This record gives sequence, structure tokens and C-alpha cells, in this order.
Amino acid sequence: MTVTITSKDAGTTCVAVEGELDTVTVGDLRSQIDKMVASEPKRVEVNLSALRMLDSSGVGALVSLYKRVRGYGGEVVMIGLRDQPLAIFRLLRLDRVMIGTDLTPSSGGGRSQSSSNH
Amino acid sequence: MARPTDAPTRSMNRLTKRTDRRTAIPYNETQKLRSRGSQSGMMSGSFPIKLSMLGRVQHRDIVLRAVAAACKLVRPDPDKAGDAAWNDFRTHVVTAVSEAFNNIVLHSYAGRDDGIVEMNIRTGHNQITVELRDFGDSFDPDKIPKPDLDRLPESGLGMYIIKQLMDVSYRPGKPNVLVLSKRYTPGTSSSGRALATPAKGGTA
Repeated sequence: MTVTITSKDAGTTCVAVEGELDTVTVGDLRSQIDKMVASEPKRVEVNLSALRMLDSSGVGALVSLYKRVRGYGGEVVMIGLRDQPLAIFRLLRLDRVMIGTDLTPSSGGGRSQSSSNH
Repeated sequence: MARPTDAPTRSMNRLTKRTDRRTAIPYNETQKLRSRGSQSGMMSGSFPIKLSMLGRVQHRDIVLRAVAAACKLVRPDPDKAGDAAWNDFRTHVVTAVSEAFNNIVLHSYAGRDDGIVEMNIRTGHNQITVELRDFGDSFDPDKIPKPDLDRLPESGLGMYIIKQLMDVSYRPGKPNVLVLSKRYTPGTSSSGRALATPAKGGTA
């Protein structure tokens, strides 16, 4: 798993999670989230378009991120979900809550912030 | 061919109707595994695929690769690319087994890294059965509360995910035996809308 955190513009932080987010890797994401949340960005965009595998512990970390940012009044959107991670989101009905305008890649011409660098 | 008539379609129904809780099968309805002489040594015949390892999270990838490969055997033509229904099938099976293996490592063998996990796989008749055995602490799957998804829980989701994706039996003991099974219905991506992978559009 790779986590890339970048500041896009004033108040917006992008978090890109690639690879497999699971019991083995979730600790790394959590520690990076801790640092990121400390600066209290107004808006957090979590790009999961290159996330291949998500398990329940990974879900826990993403939900934690969501709650913490919302807790200080920020906004979180999860974008680019596909395949197995999207299946997990739907199964746990997270798609109804933590939804980005372009949650799924099939929503055609959404506002894809071109942060795809890999 | 005698098709297994037991419950696999049930979980699929629950997937597609997951917003209607009232019609769902009661959550605490893990099938009690009937004793069937599994200690007699006959298991080697009924499970052609066996894998044994220490229960460590680092070994999970090996488990999942084996399971994903076994899913190919369920396909009528293992050499052809899978359709959307099969992709869903594989995704569900791999995801459920992943959670089950995590549970063994983190709970049954909590704090130990020398516990044995045995995985047995049987495929055929559009069905896969994955049996996971461990010698750690037992649990009662029916006593695990159903998570309140509206409250966005951060833990306690593993068994819920497993039960939604596969049919589950569990027998506590030495070993604990967890049996996960699922049917594959070719051509009907019945979970397509509920729990789907986009059929196309995936960029290389």
C-alpha cells in the first residue's frame, strides 16, 4: 500500500491510497492520517481509484478519517472507488454517507482532479 | 446433476435486498455444523486442496491467492476470461475468506504467531467450499452483534461481511472449523447492482 498526501489548494488536502489497505498495512495509513488531521484541512479528498483491496480494518481507518474530519467541521469525499473496495463500501452502505460526486468511475466525466500519478 | 439446494442463494438475496431488513434472514442464523466424521481422516478425500500455515497476517496473501485460483475451477471453462457474475463470485469469496483468516489470526490466535491454520478447498457443481481450521480460542458466531451500519462502526464488521457474502457454518472445538460456501450462477450477475464491480471501463 502507498499513501500519498498532497495539499491541492487552500484548505483542500488530497489523500491517495493505492494497493491493498488491510490489517497488514492499515497502521501506516492511520499514522499518516493522524498527521494530516492535525492540520485540520477544511476539505479532504480521498482518492481510492488505485486501491485494489480493502478489508474491514481498512474500512475502519477510512471511517475514522471521515469521522475525525467531520468532527472538526471539515468535509470528506471518497472518490474513484472501484472493484472490490467499491463492493465493500456498498455492502456496508458507506456509499450513502461517505460519497463523492464521482464515487464510481462510471459516472462519466465527473470532476476528476487529475492527481493520478503512477 | 444434483444441485446443492441449501442456502447459497439466500445470501445473494440479502445482498440485493440489503436495504430491507425485515425480509432478511435473521442475522444470528449461522448453520450449526453437523458432525460428519470429519475427524476420521476422510476429509482428505472430500477436500482435494489443502493448505497449512502458521496463522500470521503475512500469510494471508498466500491464502487469498490460493482461493482466487480455486475460484477459476468453478468456472465451466477455466481458461476463458470470467464474466461479471464470476468476477463478483470471486470477489465475494476472496473478501470473505480474507476476513475469516484475519479473525483467526487476530482473535482465535490473538497474540500468538505459532498457531496452525489449515485451509481446505473443494470446488465443483458451480460451488466452492472453503474450510478453515484453527486450534485457538473458539467463539460463537451467533453472539457477535450485528453492526449498526447507520452509526458508521469502525470495527466489528468482519463477521458481518463474511455472512453477507457466503454461507457460514462454524463448529467450535479443537480444531475450530469454519466452513464458507458459495454458489456461482453463471451469467447472472445477481449481485451486480448491489455489490458490483463495474463490468467494464476499468482502465488497464
